[in-house]
Amino acid sequence: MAERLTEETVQKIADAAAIALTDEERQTILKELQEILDFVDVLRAVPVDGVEPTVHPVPLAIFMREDEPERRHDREALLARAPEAEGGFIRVPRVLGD
Amino acid sequence: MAAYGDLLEERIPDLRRRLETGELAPEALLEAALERIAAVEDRIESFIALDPDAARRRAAALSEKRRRGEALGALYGIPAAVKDNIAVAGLPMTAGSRMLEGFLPPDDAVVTERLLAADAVIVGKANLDEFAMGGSTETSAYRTTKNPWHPDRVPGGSSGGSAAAVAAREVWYAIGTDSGGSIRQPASFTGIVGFKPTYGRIPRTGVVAFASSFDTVGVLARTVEEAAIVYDALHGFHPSDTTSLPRDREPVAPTLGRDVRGLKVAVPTFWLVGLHPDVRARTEEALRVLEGLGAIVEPVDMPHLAYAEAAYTILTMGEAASNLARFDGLRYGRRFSDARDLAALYAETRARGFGREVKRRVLLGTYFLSAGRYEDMYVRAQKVRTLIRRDFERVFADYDLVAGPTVPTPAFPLSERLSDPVAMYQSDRLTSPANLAGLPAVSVPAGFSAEGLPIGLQLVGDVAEDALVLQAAYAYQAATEHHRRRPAL
Amino acid sequence: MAYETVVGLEVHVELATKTKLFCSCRTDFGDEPNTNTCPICLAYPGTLPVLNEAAVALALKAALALNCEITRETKFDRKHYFYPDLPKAYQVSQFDRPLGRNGYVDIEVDGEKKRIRIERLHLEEDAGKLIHTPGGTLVDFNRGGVPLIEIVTAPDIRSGKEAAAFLTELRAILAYAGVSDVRMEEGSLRCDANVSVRPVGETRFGTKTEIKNMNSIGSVERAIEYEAARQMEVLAQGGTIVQETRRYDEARRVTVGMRAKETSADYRYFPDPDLVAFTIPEAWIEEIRESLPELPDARRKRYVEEFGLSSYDARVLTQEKAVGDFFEAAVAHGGDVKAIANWMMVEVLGYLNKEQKSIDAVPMTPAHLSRLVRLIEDGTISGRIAKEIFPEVIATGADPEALVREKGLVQIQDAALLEAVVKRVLEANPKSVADYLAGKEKALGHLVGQVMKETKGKANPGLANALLKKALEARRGAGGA
Ligand SMILES: [Zn+2]
Repeated sequence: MAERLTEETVQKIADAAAIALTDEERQTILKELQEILDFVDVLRAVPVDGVEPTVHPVPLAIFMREDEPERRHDREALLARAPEAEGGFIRVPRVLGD
Repeated sequence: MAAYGDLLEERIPDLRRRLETGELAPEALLEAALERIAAVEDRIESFIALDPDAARRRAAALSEKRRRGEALGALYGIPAAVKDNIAVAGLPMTAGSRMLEGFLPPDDAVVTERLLAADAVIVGKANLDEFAMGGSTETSAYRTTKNPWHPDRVPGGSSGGSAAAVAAREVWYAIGTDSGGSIRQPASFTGIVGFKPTYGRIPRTGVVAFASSFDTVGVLARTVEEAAIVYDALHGFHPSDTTSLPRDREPVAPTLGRDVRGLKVAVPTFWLVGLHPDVRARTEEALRVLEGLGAIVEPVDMPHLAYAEAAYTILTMGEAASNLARFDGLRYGRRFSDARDLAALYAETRARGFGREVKRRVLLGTYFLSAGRYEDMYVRAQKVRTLIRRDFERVFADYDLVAGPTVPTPAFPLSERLSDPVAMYQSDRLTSPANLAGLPAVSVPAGFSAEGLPIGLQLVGDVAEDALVLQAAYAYQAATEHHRRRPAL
Repeated sequence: MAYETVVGLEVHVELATKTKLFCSCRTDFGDEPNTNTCPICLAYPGTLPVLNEAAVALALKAALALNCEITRETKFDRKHYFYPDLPKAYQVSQFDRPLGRNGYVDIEVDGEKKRIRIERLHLEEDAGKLIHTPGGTLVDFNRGGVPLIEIVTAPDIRSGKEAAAFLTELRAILAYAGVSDVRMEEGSLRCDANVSVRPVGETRFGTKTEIKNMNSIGSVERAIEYEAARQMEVLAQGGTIVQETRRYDEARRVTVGMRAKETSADYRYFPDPDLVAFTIPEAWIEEIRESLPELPDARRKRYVEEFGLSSYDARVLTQEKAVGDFFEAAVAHGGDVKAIANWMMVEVLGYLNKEQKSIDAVPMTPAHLSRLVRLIEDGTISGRIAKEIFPEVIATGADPEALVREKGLVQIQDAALLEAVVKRVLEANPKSVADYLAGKEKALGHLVGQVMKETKGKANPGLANALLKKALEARRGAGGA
């Protein structure tokens, strides 16, 4: 049996995912998420003890790069894509200093 | 006009020969495509962005290249569409999302570099489900692409724009991505060939990540031969994607036509249940065709396929929640908030920048990775992924290919499943296993439903057996005529 | 009730690579903001990480230098949180397969040796830097993606002093191994402390607080001492300790509670699907192990055994690898080892300390120091002259021998020459002579001083002494002045 979601749980998830929800959205999303949770609950029927989890589906060899600096982009071109930039910095609303 | 019409039905190898001799100029072929696009695009809406002028400059440069007597690439002068979650420098890349409206990628994706190195002409960026999340291309923030075979049907997704552009003869081939069926399902719905190579065969660099361990770049074209030619130009390791794989031992296209006699084909019994009757019938017929070609077709039991969709849902949502966390309106893209409070700025930007389906998946993905659920749900799904891989391994110990339908139904009506996510996810149930196991798989036209909607046959090979998959699909296509029918547009 | 302090440290160390952990941007400190950035470290869509082999090698080197077991089957995990200094909104780190485990560092406090266990050492990427202004926060991603190792100790530390000793030794080891430049003031070594107290004899741990914002080893020591005393006071008053993060205020020398987070952080770790899990080849580990230089502890033992130095002197000379290297190079050029050791500890380190310089930054060579010491030994110059010319030698790299000759500072060894001076001095100082003859031996010192003065310090003090004595005794024999 899948976990029964509550509005509080949905809000906690939304906070962790940094997505604002209106009260109405929270209710409809709760229903949709619950349906999906019920749907994926079938996995509980599968015995998985002792089975290794898969991260990549195919065998991949590790590849590492040499420690050689390379510069292909200039700062102004990159910062031009930021909604707010100033004096070579990216600017964001004030964060409380810590 | 008439001449253009003829060009549209010509295949890439023939066009490539005529372009090489100079009998046909890249500019002329491009104009044929642009004229076709002008004629049908308002009804199909395959593209998010078109740049005819850039394409014309490119075609002219290619003409010049030939005049200089330089060697010409495998895709010399052939117009293509690129799914809009793949970077093409000079064109915006939105991934179908408001979040990236107007975003100009600073570099070409590796697959784009390789297309251009093969002398391709890119005409525009194809529509897709937002961040490739969906099976109908309806979650795009920009437009709704229609199925060229029926104006009220979805083209499938998420590479629906790519598939529709090829099926509507707007371009000769298109690049797509497939994380759970996003190339094969729309190929099936639009009556074309959709090839998803082995995971890692085509580097992901420059491709907006949805679910990193599933995302696979692939090709949509009208025939298997054309798909193989394009694949040959694109695959192989690149040092910027350390999850990419080495090149195939030899180019695949020249090996097409190899005998498939004696090939052992397994058909999972689970893939033949719960199908639309026409899909069932076309699949049975297709399997008989394979037998007629000398293949040995046998049913097999793969006990974990029934869990593929659930495992796929959990794993891709978890990866998506993580991959999409970077979209916060600070360094690039759009900021949808004037909040002076940082947390509010994040939450509002992401609430307005993401569409409903993306939010659904990001929220659930966050849930699956959260403390207390991670082991129980996410890790369990990773283990089921292992079991599904083992099912395939067992089958491939005795068989060369796994076959079945691509999708349980023909193309469904527009907006039918938008508000029914579970039904939408289930349309991936026959395609997602190949992504869970990283296997090469192709969807090839296998006839039509009673309503005249295309139906696809899916062939899946073992890891790195990309060539075998295409060889078998080619043999099947050579024995059938389905791919010759074209939508009445 | 008597309490004891229990401390565990989390130390972040920036690795001395040329480029970042997952992209080819430079890691240089102090560059113009955001000049060392690229689409990868700004987390543009479609970018992928490519692991820097040198970072893995340096992390392994650190792990081996700290006596860790190497986790050969290793991988990277994503640690999620939203913050403007973290472009991907996750940090690539290592969760359950840290590169190193179960290491240790031996320290010595008040003559007592103690082993501090290291629970884990893992590789991860650094975050960017935030600059807070009244109008908003500015972000510089130059540091974002720089490779870090995080070293976590067991709660084996019992005082601020032990913590300081641990950090001093850790710094030395990492610097010796060439893993990092370990500059706390530039942030290439950063330390947080988990502090709790418990009644002596109690085996369970008390509630801990996490102390941040300590910018030097001294401030770590002070912060821990303050925090432990604060906790003991709270308990003595019948209060309870609140688990929280506290900031150390160096100016006021107190720890201050930071705004408590409403919920405890859930980082949602999972294996990074953009990076391949990998096995570290045994041969690579061996190669790195063999490349490790002699570490401070071994070097100290050698100084005691081979050079006969005291363990204190050995510690001073080995604190910094470059200082020990200089010392040994000077010894190799010849001269009395203990004399060279003294010159190093008093004059050289004193100078470096005063000038805030590192030994690599001074023009003086080990050969110069050796020569200077030998000039004293062979009587060419006096110790006083040596000290006089030293500032010039160290600051300009002038050859002491040439300098001595050039300035005419060669010691007067010629008894005939000196006898004349002695005679003059005795005649000019009748009172001192009388005092000496009256039994006030001290007067001799004054006379020697006068001889030195007359010769501008060039007289061999021993010879001057002997000649004076001889002349004075001769006068005594002659029946007084
Ligand atoms: Zn970078």
